[in-house]
Amino acid sequence: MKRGRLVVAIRRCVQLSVIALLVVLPVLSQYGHYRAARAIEDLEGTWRGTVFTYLERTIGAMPDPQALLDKFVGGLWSMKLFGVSITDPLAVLEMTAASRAWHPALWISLLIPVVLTVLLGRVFCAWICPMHLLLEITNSARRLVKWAELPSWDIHFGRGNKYLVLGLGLVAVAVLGTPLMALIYPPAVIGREIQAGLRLHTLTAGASVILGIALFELLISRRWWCRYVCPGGAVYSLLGAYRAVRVRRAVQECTACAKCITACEMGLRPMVDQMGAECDNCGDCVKACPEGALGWVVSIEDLRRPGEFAPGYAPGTAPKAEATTPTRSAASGTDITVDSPETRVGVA
Amino acid sequence: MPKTRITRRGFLATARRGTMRIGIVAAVGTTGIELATRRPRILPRETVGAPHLRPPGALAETEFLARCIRCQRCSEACSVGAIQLPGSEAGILHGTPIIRPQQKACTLCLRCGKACPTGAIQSLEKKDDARIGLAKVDKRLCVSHNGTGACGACYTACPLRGKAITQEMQFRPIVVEEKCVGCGQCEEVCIVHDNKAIRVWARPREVTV
Repeated sequence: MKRGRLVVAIRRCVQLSVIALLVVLPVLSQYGHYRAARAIEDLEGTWRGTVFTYLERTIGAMPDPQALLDKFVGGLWSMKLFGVSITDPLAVLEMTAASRAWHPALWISLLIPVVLTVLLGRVFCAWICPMHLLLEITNSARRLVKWAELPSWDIHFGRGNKYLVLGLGLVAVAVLGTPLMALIYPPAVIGREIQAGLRLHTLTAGASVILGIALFELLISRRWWCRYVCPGGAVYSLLGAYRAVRVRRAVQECTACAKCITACEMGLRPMVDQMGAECDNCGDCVKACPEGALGWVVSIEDLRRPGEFAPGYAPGTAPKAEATTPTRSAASGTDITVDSPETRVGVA
Repeated sequence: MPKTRITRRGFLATARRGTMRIGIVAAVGTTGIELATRRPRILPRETVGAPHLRPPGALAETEFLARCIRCQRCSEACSVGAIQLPGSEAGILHGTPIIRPQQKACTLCLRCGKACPTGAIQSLEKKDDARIGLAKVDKRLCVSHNGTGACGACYTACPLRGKAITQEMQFRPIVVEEKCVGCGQCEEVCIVHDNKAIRVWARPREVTV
């Protein structure tokens, strides 16, 4: 339990720092623009003037400020951090599908995200994506909707839908010859909206995409986007299906209270060892478990089974037959048909 | 006569239900009205009517649109903020880099090519290799050409001074088509306001949209 709380706390810090980074990078680049134009003095009295004057005193005093600024550009879609180029796998797929061009530098920039995803699973979603944080807040806000006795639903879709979205999206991109998913993929959209807000003092259509998704999740389908739709999440799910770091249940300690199932944002069932490709190692289930039965293991021996573990498996201990009885029936069940507290429909 | 009893619990429940509903209706309603009544902003003709200008080293338009992932790295890397990113009013061009020299001209620092992750903007070695567009002088508007003055601002501002823009007598600018990179410094500094006497136009072979 403690372990989970710590991990979730660290995750919150990472999420907030990513959002801070998304704001800092455009501000830094704007500072560079004003610096090159020697126009920082003109901004005196505005918040930008204050920030840029401060930056001028710190970064501007360094030997080569422009070289430093060149090392930090972009957003989550594609960014340069400490001079290292990092690109979203979906962006690479889109660009390749649209242009049929081979650009080695782009594929090299995939290295960090792909290695991280293969090892840790879909961690981009839970730890980095700003949309995930927004939708977690939306998910909590469903309680508010319930409290206000507003009509709300929780419709489930197939989890495979996102692969369909990805596939059809790539076909559309290839046919039309221009990256289209960049216009709806939330991490890319949010980066662009922050840019637009800072530079043009307005928001673009992307903001309504974000708002629409949040509203849909608030009233109609819980955690709809990340579970069933997100094409980027689909790519990360495919890459992270055989991850090495996994959540595992100690069967002896599990009391089958189902709190982990309620806690899971992705709609997975840690209680019955059903942790599919969607698991983003967010730590919510580990935090929710009152018995401390859930934890992380680094395991390579069961890479062949991406989602499910043998019932009764616990690291370092022999499984006891009686401990597995409450869960065994459910373990063989399919994904969505089994009823659980979270499938309950909201007050109509 | 039936009595309606208003309990405190009932009153509060109705109140909170009502407040939330009014809030949601108001939010959705204002957004809807806003969307329904908003006139699409018409872009300057550089972006829609006439072909738009892309950063130095950009591929031909079709290839460019296929490669550009709208990541904004070029815009952030631009040393003077000349690379603009049009919003959703630009449709499919949303988030692609565009240069409007009248507002801010390219200084040919070529940082955008180095920042581009996909090669939509190629990294150039020399300033002279850039082909953003081609400057054209409107001799009726140019004060040096039409005899209302002697200016020479564009000649002075040109980064390829003497190569891309040469001068005749009375500071009359002449653009050398083979050498002009289309950076737009001339257009930015042109003293004729509202309708610049020297303007950068996209080069014909690059126009495919």
